[in-house]
Amino acid sequence: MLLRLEADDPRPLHEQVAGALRRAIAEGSAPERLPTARDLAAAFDVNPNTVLRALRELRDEGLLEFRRGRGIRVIPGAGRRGELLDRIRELVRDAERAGHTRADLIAMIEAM
Amino acid sequence: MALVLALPAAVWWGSLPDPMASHWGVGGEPDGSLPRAAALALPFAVALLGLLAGRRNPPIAVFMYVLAVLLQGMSVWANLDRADWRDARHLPWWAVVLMIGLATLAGWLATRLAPRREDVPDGPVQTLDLPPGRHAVWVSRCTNVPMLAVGYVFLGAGAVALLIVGPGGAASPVPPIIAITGVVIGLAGLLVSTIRVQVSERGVAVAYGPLSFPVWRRALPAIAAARTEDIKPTEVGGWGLRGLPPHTTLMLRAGECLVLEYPGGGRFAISVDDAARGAALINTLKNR
Repeated sequence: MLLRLEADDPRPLHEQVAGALRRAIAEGSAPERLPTARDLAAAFDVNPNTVLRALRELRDEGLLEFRRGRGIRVIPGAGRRGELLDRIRELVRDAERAGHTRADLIAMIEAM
Repeated sequence: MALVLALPAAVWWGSLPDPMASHWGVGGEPDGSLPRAAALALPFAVALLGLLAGRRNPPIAVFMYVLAVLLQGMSVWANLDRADWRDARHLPWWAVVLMIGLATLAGWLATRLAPRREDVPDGPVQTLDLPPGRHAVWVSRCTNVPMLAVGYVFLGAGAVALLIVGPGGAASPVPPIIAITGVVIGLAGLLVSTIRVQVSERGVAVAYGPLSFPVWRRALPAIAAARTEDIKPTEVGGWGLRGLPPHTTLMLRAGECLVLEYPGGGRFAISVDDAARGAALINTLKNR
């Protein structure tokens, strides 16, 4: 699977890693059985705990499932959900930059 | 070629018992027999099998043919002038090792002497759209589950046999050399039945075996280009690490391989999933 990191990303490392994984899942480049946290950490050249934190984040978002002894699996259909979540996250960031709160954003969506 | 196999059978037909001894125990004593015609026909079957399997790979055909000739020679020699197959000459276990060793040597010589197949790259050199300053890594793996299982069985059986022998005991029915061979074959099998491949700015890394050890690395400047190619085990002489540097293949299954081309000739082909993205990333990072 191909994992891309943004240039000059101000976000914490674990969020950057989570973003790269989310994008790989959305693009369909992620295999059903994900590489181990150790392998991902070696590839990114970061601490395995950083990768684990990112993986837990994606599990909580419903993109991944952890199975004891069988590794980490991408939940079928997770690609589109991940893509959508990524765009919402971008939207929230843009809104915050423009001075709108999350409540404003929700109100805007509901008024549509 | 078939004549060489037929000759001993024809010349000594009358001096061979019927049935003939066709199998020998660990101690070298004959413990199995076949009707004379069947025992003498068996090497033909081995040679034919080699011919079929080796159509696209001459070394395999050479290996099997030499094996067939040695088999025929040994079985005729052991049975010659004996009235009953039970009185056949003993064949020590190392005769088998010698036979396989000679056949392997012949196959290896054939590899060296046979003209090399011209490498026609399968696809063009692909690249990715990666803006400057952005980092990217690629991770993938490949596992051959049956091969992994066989590796564990060999390792386990060899280890158990060694434990039975103990520090100085000779109570084991299995000679220690066979137990050690089992352990070595098991370990070698495990190393090449599951691999992980990683591409980053630091280069390409291939981690062997269930423990991801040892790790083979090559920096990007030491790679001329990367491509993908569909390669079958029959084209490279079987599974595992095949060929001699700088022209090697790490074959785990038929199909997509990541091919690293070296500057100045040679290449390393690796069975791995998602190889196209890996090759494209290598080319992209190289061009930076």
